Amino acid sequence: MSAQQAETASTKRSYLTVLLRALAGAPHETMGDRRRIYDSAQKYLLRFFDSQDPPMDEDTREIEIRILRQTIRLLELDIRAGIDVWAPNYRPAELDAILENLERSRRVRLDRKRGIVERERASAGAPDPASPADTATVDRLRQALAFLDPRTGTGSTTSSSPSNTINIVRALVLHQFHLIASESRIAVVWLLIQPAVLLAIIHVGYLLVDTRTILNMDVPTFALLGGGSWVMFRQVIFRVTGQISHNRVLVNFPMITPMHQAVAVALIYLVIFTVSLTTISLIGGALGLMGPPDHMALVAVHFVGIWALGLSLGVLFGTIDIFWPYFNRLTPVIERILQLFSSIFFVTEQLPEAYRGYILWNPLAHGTQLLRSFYFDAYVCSDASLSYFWLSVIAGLSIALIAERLIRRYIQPM
Amino acid sequence: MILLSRVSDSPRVAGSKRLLADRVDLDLPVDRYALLTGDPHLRRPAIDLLARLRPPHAGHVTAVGSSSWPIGRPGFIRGKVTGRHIVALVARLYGLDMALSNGILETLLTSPAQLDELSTHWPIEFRREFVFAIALLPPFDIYIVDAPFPSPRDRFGQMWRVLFDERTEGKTLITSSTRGRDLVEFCSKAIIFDRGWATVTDRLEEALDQYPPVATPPERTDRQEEADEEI
Repeated sequence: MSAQQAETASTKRSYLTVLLRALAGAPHETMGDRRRIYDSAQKYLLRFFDSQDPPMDEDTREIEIRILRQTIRLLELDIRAGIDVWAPNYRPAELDAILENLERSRRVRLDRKRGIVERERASAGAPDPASPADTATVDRLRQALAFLDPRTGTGSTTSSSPSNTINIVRALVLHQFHLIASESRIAVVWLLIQPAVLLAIIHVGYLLVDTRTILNMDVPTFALLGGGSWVMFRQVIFRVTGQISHNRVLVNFPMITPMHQAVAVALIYLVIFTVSLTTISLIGGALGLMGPPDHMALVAVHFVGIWALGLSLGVLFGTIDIFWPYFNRLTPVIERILQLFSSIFFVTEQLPEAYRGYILWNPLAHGTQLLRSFYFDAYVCSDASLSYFWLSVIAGLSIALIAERLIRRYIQPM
Repeated sequence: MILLSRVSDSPRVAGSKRLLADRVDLDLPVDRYALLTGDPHLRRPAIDLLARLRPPHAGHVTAVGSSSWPIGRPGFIRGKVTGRHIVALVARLYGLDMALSNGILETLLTSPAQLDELSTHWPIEFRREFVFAIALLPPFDIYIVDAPFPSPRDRFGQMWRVLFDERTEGKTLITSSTRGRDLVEFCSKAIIFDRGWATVTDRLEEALDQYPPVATPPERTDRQEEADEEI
């Protein structure tokens, strides 16, 4: 058995097999018996490390011992829980996750060690500030910095003033996109699936009552327009609120205001949802479920109008959030109510005359219906008002701008 | 130069409102200032105000020329981005050449290979070097430093100090280092914020005795933790 164990010290995955074999070969009924076996396993492992030539480094040694202890812990827990540890495919559930964690921490340690060595080597190479090599480097850096200066050098890439709004928002959009993408790649995929899910829900609802067309609109496209624009609207509100009230990171740059951050994030989601909805509608078109829009440009303009409403509501929610942090627990409720009254599942023309007024106070309902009426020439929208919608968009944006001005003094950078 | 006119401000610090300025009029011509405060917690909001990151509750802060972000504050290094991404952001914001900016940092930093790593994995020494190194790239008229300066004992510290001295020559410098040695070395005057009034004095040593720069424990509130998730 000792030869077996010697092998396993380097192949840590089989500590479990060795422990099981040791348990099988000795009395293991009581906790005391088992503890003796575990102790001797650890003692054996330590002796094995000491006998290594060249000697094993401290870090690897510590990690190996930790792996053994974790394996013992999980095994003992399973034995006490009455799980059949003698089954041929037995493996504690958490073992792989723990092994992975330990492996990661080993890598981090190695990296840190390498950093310290590099640092020592670098400072040993040039301990004297007046050393010729260093003076030459500083000279080179000095020239490069002078060249980089947009005022004196020619290293500037932009001819206009670098800190105008468009430049700032462009820089932020690119930066935030890196952040979103590196936070989670699945999140980006989910953004594609999310509208498809809501679309399916609306679609199934109408299929159950055996409706194929709604006021001359086919159900899949009707659902896509309502569901897609709603998901985008909601997501923009949610993200913009976060940018205004919680993201105190990039406001450390004097030229960046919370509004820049809000617009940058909202733009990212506009692009993401445009891509995702176009993809869904192209797939739907290929399957023969959806038709192309009758007025492409007007549909796009109204989609952007709904987005702008979302942006202004997001800024407003963020403003309230700063003064009353509890508010962000209410936003999901407000959004649910809005979802019912925003012409997503139905249009007002489907409702009795008496109830239409309750829905038509909501600018988003006008937006969604206008969007559908420009998509389908066959659907004549009698209730939605173009001027009501666009005046609301302008009013919303103006209120958002004023609100952001007022709260800026309360936003302390981190 | 920076001009504070009728500035009143009481920011929230460590969960409570504290008075930073009460109808302060202050004129800061081009010079090298150490920022001292009676309440050490107020140093950070005072820096925010002078760097114009946040408008005061009343009054105006005006500055002639461009001012830097609070150099040394690890603020903009959050979330899963690599050093290259941050360099790209700064280069885009200030209209700098990206390849050249990267090249300068690679020469200056002790372990440039870390630039390609995610900032969440950076060792503390690299993080410190990075936040100081990147501040050399854009030229400013007002330099604001909000951390202890890099030590002159290693290669990076020596080169950085030489370049920073040249960069800030004839420019306004405001520092709020918690190391008294830095303040004596880099500054000639002191700006003092105490109990709502503010003043500038030439007697730096005396001011340092009276208002020693004490480090405050880093603030961690729920709000900031949420922000981590948000980005």
